[in-house]
Amino acid sequence: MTDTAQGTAVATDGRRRNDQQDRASFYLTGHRMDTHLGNVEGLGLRSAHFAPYRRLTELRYDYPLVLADGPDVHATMWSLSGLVDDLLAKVATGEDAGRVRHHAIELEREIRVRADAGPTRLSAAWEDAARALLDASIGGPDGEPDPELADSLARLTAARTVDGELVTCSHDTPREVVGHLWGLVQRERERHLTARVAHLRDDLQDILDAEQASSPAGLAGERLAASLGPVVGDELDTDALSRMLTDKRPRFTLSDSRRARVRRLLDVLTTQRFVPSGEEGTDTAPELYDFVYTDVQAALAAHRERFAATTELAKALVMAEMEADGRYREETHDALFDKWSVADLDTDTLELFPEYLVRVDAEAMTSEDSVALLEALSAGLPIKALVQVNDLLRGATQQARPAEAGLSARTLASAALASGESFVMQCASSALYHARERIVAGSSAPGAALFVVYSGEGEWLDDLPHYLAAAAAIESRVFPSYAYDPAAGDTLAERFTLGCNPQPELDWPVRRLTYQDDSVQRVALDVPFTAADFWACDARLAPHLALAADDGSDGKVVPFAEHVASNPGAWTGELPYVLMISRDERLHRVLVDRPLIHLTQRSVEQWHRLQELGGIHNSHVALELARMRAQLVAELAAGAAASTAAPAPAGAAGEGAPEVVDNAEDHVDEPQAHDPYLPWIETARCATCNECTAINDRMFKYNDDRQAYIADPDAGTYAELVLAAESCQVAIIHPGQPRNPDEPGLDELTKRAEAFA
Amino acid sequence: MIDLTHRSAAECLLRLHDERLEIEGFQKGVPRWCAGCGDNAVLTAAQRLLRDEGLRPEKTVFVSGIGCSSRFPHYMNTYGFHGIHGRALPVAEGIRVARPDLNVFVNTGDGDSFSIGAAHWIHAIRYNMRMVVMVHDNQIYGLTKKQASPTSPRGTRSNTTPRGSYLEGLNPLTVTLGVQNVSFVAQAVDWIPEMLYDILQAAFHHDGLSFIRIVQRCPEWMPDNFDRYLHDPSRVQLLHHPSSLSISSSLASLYPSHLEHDPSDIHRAREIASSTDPIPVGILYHDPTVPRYDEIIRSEATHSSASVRRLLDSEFDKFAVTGGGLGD
Ligand SMILES: Cc1ncc(C[n+]2csc(CCOP(=O)(O)OP(=O)(O)O)c2C)c(N)n1
Ligand code: SF4
Ligand code: SF4
Ligand SMILES: [Mg+2]
Repeated sequence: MTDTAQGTAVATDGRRRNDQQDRASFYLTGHRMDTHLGNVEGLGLRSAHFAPYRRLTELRYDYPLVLADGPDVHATMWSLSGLVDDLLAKVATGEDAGRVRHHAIELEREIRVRADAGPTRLSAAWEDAARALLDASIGGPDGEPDPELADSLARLTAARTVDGELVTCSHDTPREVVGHLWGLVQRERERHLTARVAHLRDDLQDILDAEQASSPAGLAGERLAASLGPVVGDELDTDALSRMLTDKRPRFTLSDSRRARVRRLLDVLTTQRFVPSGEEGTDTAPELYDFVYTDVQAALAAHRERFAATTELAKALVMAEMEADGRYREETHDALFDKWSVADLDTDTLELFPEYLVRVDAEAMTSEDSVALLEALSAGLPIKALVQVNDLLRGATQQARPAEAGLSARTLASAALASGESFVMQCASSALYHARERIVAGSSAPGAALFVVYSGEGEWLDDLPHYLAAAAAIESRVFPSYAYDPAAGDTLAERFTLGCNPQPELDWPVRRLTYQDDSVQRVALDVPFTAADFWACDARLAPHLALAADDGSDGKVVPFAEHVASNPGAWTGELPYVLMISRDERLHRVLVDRPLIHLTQRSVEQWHRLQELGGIHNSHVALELARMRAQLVAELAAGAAASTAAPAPAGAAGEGAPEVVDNAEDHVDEPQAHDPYLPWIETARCATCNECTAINDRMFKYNDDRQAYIADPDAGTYAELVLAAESCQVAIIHPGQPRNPDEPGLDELTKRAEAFA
Repeated sequence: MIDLTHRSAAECLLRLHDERLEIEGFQKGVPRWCAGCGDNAVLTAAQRLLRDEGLRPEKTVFVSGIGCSSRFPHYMNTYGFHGIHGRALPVAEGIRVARPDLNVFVNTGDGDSFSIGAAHWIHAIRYNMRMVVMVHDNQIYGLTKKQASPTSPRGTRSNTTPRGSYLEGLNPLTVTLGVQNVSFVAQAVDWIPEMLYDILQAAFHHDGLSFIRIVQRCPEWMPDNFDRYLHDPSRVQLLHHPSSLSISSSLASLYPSHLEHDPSDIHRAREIASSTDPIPVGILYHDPTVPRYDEIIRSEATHSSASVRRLLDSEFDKFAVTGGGLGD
């Protein structure tokens, strides 16, 4: 043995001795006493779950979105892929559908590249992409573009009617998407209010005009002549007419108070600053209010400041309506309206008013902001708040939260949820497209609404795309998506939905990872997407991670989910790991310490509470089920006891054995028993040969795997069943017993069927 | 209002824009095969494979020659090439070279590939270009109404052999296994859909030419031909191995005869292949390391758009394993 080799052996021995200590120390505190637990910093680790999604531009997914122009709130947001599929459904129908489809997908990819490069409109990116594709298809120096490509692109372009901003998944996406959808709802509101104001202004003006028209001035000879026009001309003595109309006739006049009131109402409608009042372009046009804010308190202050103006306009609208209908009675209504405030107005009227949108970063909110927002939510103020979360770690641990900071966004959402009075939605940018109808619902909900959206932003995520970070936050249950809509019904089941969390019945969704092992074999593993997989991508948590040694010298390591399931937090000599990929595309086991486990456990507990709200593993239901089960078992046992005590008539007992309840789970491996009377097919063995379906395609049908089953035993005769059984090459059709006792030839058929019993 | 609780939306995360098609998406027309024809089973297996693998119709091509079985491409809603008699393989090879981004499947009959197309068969095996070749072997010329084919068993009475064929039938498995560069050989029977599917799937994942002989019933012209296997399941021998296919418990109880066979052992494979009763069903031979001609000739041209495409495809399989091996 050489000196060096000996030295290595000694070092290894020393290392072994320290191993246990080192591992325990890392596990319990994250401190490394020895250095051999590999540092993960600088490796650019990200969860192995992301492996298939590294080249997002190459893939078809929701982004970019098209924020479409046009007023229809429900057709206003498209995913580019969805739009292309929609166009294909219209255009790619003939013989050449495959070719058009192929070109469309190429076009889509080119557009996606352009969207990623910077803000653009769909039409611009589309034209540019189409031109690039055509140019690339030109063969020689003076060649022509591929005519088939040109044809496909022309057809697709002609079919496209949608245009709008292309939005990729980035820091500003939650802002833009919520702003866009809210804006449409807001515009709809404004349109209604504008129309109503204009209409009432006309009505009020008519009242004033009518008085004017029937006044002596209004009925003066020259006015009458002007109103009759030149055709009548001199033939009519308008002065005489004026005398006839004004002499000794009752006159339509407004009381002074009514005239003053109508003028005042008109004035309110004209000078209000909520919506355009038709005076645009004139010097007197009032400056309109702004309703979009980036500061909760500023929005609330604006709402408070405009309280008087809101009351005034709302009152004016109701009074003007009564005036126009002639229903306003001073003696009763004056006193009533004097005392009115916004609180007395009907919700229909208030719903017409523009609402406030606040878009704020959770990290920028102070504790005053949080309190103010929560109060606004439970008071049902007309405010829709988007709280964008960029840093999920903030608020997740005490250390990570500055003292003066407001509530963490997640806490904000759960507090709002607990109050139960306002619309609450939580999701991440990756799911915005799927949540679009929810966002519209929240924007149009009466009262306040809170949208909490995680953006996937953060330098601590390295260069992980926002889309993946956001999707991972939902997948890992660190930031589950859910929505609560008090307008959807009276019960929690109607109001609450768990959104688009995958595999909601599990703690963590399970994904299949495929990779190549040392011997270049494809290996597939089902791995849960745990909270640790998410947090491990956060560079700030790197001290809580360690690279497992290549040679397995780190002792016992177990998959993270397994570890927390069997042992939440005590040191038992094993280290949990998650699978991660480094920048050089190698797969690593990355060890996780206990503080990080605690972090993940908190999100699991929160997830369990959400599951219960969403009706999954509901503890009340579980208790009730257990109670009912016990009761049933007791009843059955009592029945069985009674029947043994006094032998009951045959058939009355027997079926009543208590274990019936658990039957399904206990005997899964036994071959399924079949009712000997019913016809059936051993579907899994069907070779799709079309024999039976050719005999009767209503009786025999194919399932999703194109294997035959009996769809309707009464859709044909017993003779057909027997014939099919005989024709079936694999003899898997069992005709059972005849169902119609009057069918001719049953004796012979039953005999033939015996072979297939 | 969309329902966020709906499954499709529930799967929205990390899920790409759903490109997958249901089986109907791969169906086209109504097959003109006789009722009971085993070709139907192959069609279904192929359609299920495309669905389950999430293949795109525009990225897939089915090539065939002439015969009943060769009508296959007409019933697949993908690209297709219904070629000339015996020439399915050269056409498929051309496609493979020109469009390496496509998934190439070949459907051919025993007459198509072992009589008129025999030369192409041998060379295609040797060239080992990536494609799945399904030979529907009904041991007869079906389309032309019953003439003996090279695989017809001795004594087969047909229009060309009214007194019964004189020669012993050709065993396509042993021949294929004797060709240089052979990389994947399997045998399936149309009436065990589960095995047919599993074999087809393994063949699809093989990086080279996968040759599957599918024993196919022709109830029209050879009605009793395979009855001995159909009526006595113990005469079908299922091949299994940890490195190959496994047999489900339901299948194992129906077909009692099993044989553990390591498909990397070519000598054993030839031995098993020579048995016609019992008839082996499963993967006989598999060697993923055999070089592919379609790759060799393109290796210079790393700048073609096609090779870029291939590189992209291979990205997903690219990462190696560290951390003491995960396979344990
Ligand atoms: C060059 C040429 N020779 C002969 C034929 C006639 N022909 C058509 S199909 C066929 C045999 C097909 O047999 P097989 O490949 O086993 O297909 P099957 O119908 O059995 O599925 C023949 C000889 C032809 N179409 N072209
Ligand atoms: S006859 Fe038998 S094998 Fe054919 S389709 Fe019907 S059940 Fe399936
Ligand atoms: S003739 Fe034979 S091979 Fe051709 S379709 Fe009919 S049953 Fe099938
Ligand atoms: Mg044939």
